[in-house]
Amino acid sequence: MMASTIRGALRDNRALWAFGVLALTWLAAIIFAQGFNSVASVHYLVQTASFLGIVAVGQTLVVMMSGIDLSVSAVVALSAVVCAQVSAGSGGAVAILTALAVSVLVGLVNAAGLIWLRLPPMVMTLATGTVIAGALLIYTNGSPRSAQIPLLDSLANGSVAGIPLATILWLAIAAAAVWLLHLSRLGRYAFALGTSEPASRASGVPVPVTTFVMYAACALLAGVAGLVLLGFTGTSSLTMGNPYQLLSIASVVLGGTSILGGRGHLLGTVAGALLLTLLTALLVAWNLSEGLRQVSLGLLIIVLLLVYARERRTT
Amino acid sequence: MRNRLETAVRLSGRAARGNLDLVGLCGLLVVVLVVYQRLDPTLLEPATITILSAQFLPLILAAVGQTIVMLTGGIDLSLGAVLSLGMAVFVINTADGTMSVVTAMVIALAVTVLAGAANGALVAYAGLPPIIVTLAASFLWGGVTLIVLPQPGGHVPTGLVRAYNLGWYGLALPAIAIAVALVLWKVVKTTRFGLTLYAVGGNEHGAFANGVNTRRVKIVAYGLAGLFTGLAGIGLAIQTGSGDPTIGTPYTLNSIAAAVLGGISFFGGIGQMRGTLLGALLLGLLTNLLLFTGISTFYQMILQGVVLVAAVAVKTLATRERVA
Amino acid sequence: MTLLNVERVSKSFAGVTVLREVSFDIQAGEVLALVGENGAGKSTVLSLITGLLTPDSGTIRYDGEPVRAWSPHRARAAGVASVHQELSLNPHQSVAENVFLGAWPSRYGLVRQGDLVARARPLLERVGLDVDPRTPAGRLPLGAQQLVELAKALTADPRLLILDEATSALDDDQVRAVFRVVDDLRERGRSVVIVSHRMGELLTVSDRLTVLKDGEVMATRRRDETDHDDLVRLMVGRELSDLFPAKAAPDSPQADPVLRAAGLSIPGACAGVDLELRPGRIIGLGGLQGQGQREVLRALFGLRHHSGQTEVDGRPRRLASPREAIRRGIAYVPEDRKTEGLHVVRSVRANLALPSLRVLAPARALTTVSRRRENELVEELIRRMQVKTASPAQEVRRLSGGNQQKVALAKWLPARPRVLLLAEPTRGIDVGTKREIYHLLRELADEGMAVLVTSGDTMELVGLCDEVLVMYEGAVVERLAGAELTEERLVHASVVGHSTAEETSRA
Repeated sequence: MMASTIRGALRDNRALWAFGVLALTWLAAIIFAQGFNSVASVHYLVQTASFLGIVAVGQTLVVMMSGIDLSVSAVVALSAVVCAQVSAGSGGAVAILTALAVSVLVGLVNAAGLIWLRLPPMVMTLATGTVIAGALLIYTNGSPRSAQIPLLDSLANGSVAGIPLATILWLAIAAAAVWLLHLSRLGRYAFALGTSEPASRASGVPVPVTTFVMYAACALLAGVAGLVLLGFTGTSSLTMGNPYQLLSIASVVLGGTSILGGRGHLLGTVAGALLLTLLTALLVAWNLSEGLRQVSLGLLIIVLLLVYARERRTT
Repeated sequence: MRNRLETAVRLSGRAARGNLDLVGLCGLLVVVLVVYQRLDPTLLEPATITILSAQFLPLILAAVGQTIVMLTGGIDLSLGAVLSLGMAVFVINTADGTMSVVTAMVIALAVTVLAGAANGALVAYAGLPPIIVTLAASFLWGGVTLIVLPQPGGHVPTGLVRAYNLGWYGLALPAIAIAVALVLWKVVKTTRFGLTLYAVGGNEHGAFANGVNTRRVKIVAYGLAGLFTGLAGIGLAIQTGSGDPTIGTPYTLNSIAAAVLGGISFFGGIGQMRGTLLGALLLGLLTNLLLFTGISTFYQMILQGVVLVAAVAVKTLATRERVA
Repeated sequence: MTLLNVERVSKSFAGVTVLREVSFDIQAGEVLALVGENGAGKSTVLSLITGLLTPDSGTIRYDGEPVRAWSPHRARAAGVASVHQELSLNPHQSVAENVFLGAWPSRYGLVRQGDLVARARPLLERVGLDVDPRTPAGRLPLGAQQLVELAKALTADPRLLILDEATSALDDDQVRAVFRVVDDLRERGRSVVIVSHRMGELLTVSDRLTVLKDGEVMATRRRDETDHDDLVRLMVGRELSDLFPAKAAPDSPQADPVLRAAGLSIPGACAGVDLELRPGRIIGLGGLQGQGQREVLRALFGLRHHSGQTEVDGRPRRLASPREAIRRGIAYVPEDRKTEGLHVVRSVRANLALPSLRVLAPARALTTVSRRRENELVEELIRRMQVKTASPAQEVRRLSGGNQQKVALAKWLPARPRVLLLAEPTRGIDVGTKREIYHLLRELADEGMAVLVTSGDTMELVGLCDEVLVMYEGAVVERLAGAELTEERLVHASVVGHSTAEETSRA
């Protein structure tokens, strides 16, 4: 009886699992791999994790309402490319605002497609992602610019009290997202939509508003991540967002959120993004070939999912 | 009596509407073909057909594989990686000589079938949603491909490449390969397994309650998808004359796009393979059409996205129950 | 000859005894009814027979032999077939394909559609279903789908057929068809176990009735030794004379209608329906199954596009979406509570609070929900409705059907709706909970709510409603109230399609 209660509690708190696995992995990394015990390494890890982390927070908002956003990778590139392009003529501040506005617009278009055209989220966001990728090619004529924007540079590379600014930004965003998803009314609606759309409609859940806000927020965060990346590398590219499409979804799921929606906690995603970044760094530290790294990452993700992210059978 | 008649009329009306999107797709395809013929009068000549079918074969077969998985209510995000894997295994094993090519094909197909079946087993036994399993598997199979073939390269006998792309005694080999693959599917579909596939996709619990071994069905379905994906990879290798470990990536999403265009439902159990075929042809032809019209290929992606949204939206809006 | 013998069987889950020394038997060529309230142990007994569960103690003999390693597969092979309330059809495959689901006849491994259709026809005929076997099963009305399930169970020519609430979605005609099948099986020496909440049906068709209460067999009676009241007494352990509350006084002054619909039409579902819902009145929508009753409700709640006039408080209002309907004070409890009525995998708390979030977190959409006020609201609702749940955090799907229905109804109450639409409010619910729901509905009406109910249960409509509108092929063909509201008149109008008073022909 006792054991089953504990098991049940653990199963319901899959976000906690994510933090547990993260702690264990980190411990293992410090003991078994070189270079993971220094402050500098921690600093670097949380800094690089914040790029993925910011995208993944946005992805969580959408996944929780049983959606998915495959256009995040394109939006990351879009925001960086637009910012770099605009800053050449109009300066940093205008460029940043333009980039964020364009990102939000993509989110709104995604939501509009879901609501008015009734497209499955996968199709709609896949299509917008493709369109954006094509539009960027035309916009930049195939060769995007680099840009030095002081604000973004300090945001990506600076630190306060030893903590990278990018990480602080990430945690602040995560805190805001926790409020939105877990404490606000709109968050309740998102959870309700994530478990049953027909029941939500028949209970008066404002489906359009919820969808618009969540998808816009997701795209906005992808845009923010693009800007931070631009500041970090000083240059924009058409493919800079590509890794984030699948990794953001993987972070969400490793964080214990059900891909089917309606179950999970946003903080789990923070752990999920850190865990993925740590695993990648570990595999790099072991000097594995690209192929072996990917194989190991794939296997590790599968094993971790088997350990704590199985879907409960509904029968 | 009157009631029943009305019902019958209503039902046949709905059935017609069910086929309507296929008819619409056909219509669209005809329009595209006519425009194409204008721009390239050689469209219906054997040489062009051979080249075009060689060009379209990978997408068509990949979409067939994706469709099989989607019919069970699943999705395969690792399809592109498995396609590359089949290609890589094929090119490192071929040498000149028919036997060697056939052996290499068999090995490549065995590998992709196993990869697919492994995906299927994870979906069936792990209690993980297909989208997540195959997402993780895409890393896995992508990595295996890079180990098998770290750099683009490998070798496909030149004679085979020529015969495949330019015709073999006047026969369009790729077109024949596509036809054989579709006939194979037709046979599979009429077997009990084919019906089970639709049954599991339409109501998994119901199928289980009626004694269907749903797990085995999923494993076989993903394995079968691996077979068609492997064939697509081999086709791509012969078409391009070499292997490339990352060339398969776009096929994941393109195969889904073709299937969705063709009317395959994300929720499983609904859709016909001929729809997928039409969807894949349409995607391929439109891409080529842009090349002809001289518009920058940059617009190609935009068009693909728009066509996908438009086609699916029209279909959903036309067939849904009218609700507020 | 005894086909099945259940001897002193006990079963418990996690320390809770569900069955205590249950014994009964089924003879070859006999129809046995299992009666009891929800939670009495009926479904556990059936699961033991079909091999889904194994008993903790006691023996089950089938065909004289104690069953060993009984499993669904073996039970099926031994000739046990079952039809459940939950459908196991694949809506996208044809009726014929569904009838043979999982066991399609094939030649050289290939299944021929023509062969399937030809083999399905006689089976469909046997269950009284006149449909094209090539129709996708999902396009049939719910009742017809249930008959397809029955046809499917008959493919194996079972020796023991289990009907578990298999008639719950059927109209009277279809129920008669099922009973013909049952009679036919009995004549051919087959046996049937039937579970239903419709007592009248059980008293018609069964040879003996075994009553379960709290996991124990209270009695097994021959049909001619018992009656409705006797069975209810055994099931509930007390008399249940006041199943239905007293109706509104017929000559009381009628308030102005809250909701009025004129000429309500939905293509293919209903045409020209006029309705007036007044405070304090419970109106019923009757008729055979699938005559448009469900669509009328869905239209009034904005879930279905419709034409025609709708007025709220005398002002024309478009009811184009559930949100608009809710804003006008309309609430809807759907028949399909597991998909539309409730979020079954969410907690009782989340379900009860969902329609009231606007109250719990006022101002704009982005405000914080007050946990404290949410908990107070939820506790209050659970207390008022006497929802039996371990805690507000319990998932709704873990509740019994009756308690689920209470949650589906209770969640609307804080918003104080003025119109309550209910579809099949007591389907698959035990008689005790039924009584609670009837009395609650009357209470709400007395407080000034206007109530509209659809039901396939004529007794329920006659017992509960102040007025019943009978629908036939999408039109209202009869309005019965007061002394005219009798089961006979209701059934007559439902079947014939026009009123008893004017035997004039309809166009």
